[in-house]
Amino acid sequence: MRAWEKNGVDVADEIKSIIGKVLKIEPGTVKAESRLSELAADSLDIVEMVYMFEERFDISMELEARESSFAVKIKRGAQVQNVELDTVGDIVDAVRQIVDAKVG
Amino acid sequence: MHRVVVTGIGVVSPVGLKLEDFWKALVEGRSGIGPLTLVSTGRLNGCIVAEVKSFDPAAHFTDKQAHLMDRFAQFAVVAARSAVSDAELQISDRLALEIATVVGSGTGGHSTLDDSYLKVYGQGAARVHPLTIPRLMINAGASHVSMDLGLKGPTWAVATACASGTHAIGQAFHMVRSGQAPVALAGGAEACLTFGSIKGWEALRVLSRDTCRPFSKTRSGMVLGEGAAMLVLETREHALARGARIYAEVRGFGMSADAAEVTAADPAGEARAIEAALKDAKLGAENVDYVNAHGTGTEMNDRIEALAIYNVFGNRAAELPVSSSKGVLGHSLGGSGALEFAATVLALHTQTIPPTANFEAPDPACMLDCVPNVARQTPIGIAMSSSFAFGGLNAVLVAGRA
Repeated sequence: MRAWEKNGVDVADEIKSIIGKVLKIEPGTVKAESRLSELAADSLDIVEMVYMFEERFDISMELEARESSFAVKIKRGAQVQNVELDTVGDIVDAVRQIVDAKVG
Repeated sequence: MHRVVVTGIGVVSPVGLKLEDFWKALVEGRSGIGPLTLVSTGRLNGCIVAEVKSFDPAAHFTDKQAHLMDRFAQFAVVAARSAVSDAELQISDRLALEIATVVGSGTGGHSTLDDSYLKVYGQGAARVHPLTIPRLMINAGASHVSMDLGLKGPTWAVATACASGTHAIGQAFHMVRSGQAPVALAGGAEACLTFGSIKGWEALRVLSRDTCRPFSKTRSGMVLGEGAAMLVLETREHALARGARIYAEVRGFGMSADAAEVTAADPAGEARAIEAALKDAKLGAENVDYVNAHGTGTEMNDRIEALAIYNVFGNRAAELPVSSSKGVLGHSLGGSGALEFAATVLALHTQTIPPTANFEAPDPACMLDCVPNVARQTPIGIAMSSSFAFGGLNAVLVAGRA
């Protein structure tokens, strides 16, 4: 169990709620397998979501926006990995990794 | 050269969002000025303002739309929608490509700027909201009007402080007159009642602590306001072809710069703008029946403006009706010129001069017939609306009875 989740915070639920808030849709309709493109999230929506994840989890995310896809840079020790954000599940995994790396 | 007419007016004002409410308050001299409620007044001295109290974003926008816009841009869009509906203008795909959109604003997204500065400077936050820049940019009003109504012609913002709305309408008028656009949507919008902005005005020591009393001996300064007005301008033939109601004809527009002092007004500069507008309209000073003044209610503005009027109109200046709408509307900076031109157009349309509200006693330093407190029904053939901005930028519009 992660440090965050010990305090009763479910990262996945928090993220779905933020996505719902940004896209003005019911958080219940946001599933792990939902693709960002299916949710009609545009680049400004993604930038706003990332801002809200940063604020909520007190982390910093390095976002790389391309024409129609998004990636974040995640540090693992000395290595930096580009992680594609295609689905809501991808976002949850990326945020968890960044939170974990921070909490240690 | 085309003749240019006004066929639609939309307002977001401290005395209402409906045109009839706006005009009724102006004619009755019923002031929209009152205590500040939009922000906490704890550390402010100047707490008397003219707020748009009845504005509920949810009544006009989805959450998603409202989220993208600062209050000033919301004002611009609501005023633009009202103007188009008032004009009963059907915007075909072809017309949409040609309509010009010009929106003046003095300060742009002031609440957005305030909020982000509070966050990064005051609270030491690491980041601000990603919509900070798109919300605060001074062209956001023009851009959102264009996006909301699907207008794809020449579109831009004008920033000349307190004259922005007047310059915007003047430029749009020249575009329509020259044939560059058959129709234009033009005006101004401002939402500057934020803590930071009021502090700035407080520091200039020009704010009144009771109310705005233009040209009155007892005046004590200006009152900040907020709001927007947008007007539909179109060529007379375009308006006639579609059987539109014509409020008035735009006859001339003049501009000048004082090239003197940054906040002090200059009677010579103001007079040159008035003369330029008359020349543009091919009219003489003797043709003017009514002036809607800049009339801020500060000691300096009113005195200098009276001098400028005497410079242009000579001995007639003492009898020429000159009223200020700022006793009712306050001073909404980039919005004020547009709101006041709307008032000028309605004065022509109804042949009624709206009074200078809150007037108590004549001032020997500005001996004008400022139509104190009571509206006057009188034949008005030609009317003029003046805006004189900080930075010494002057703009004057001349309109005639339809």
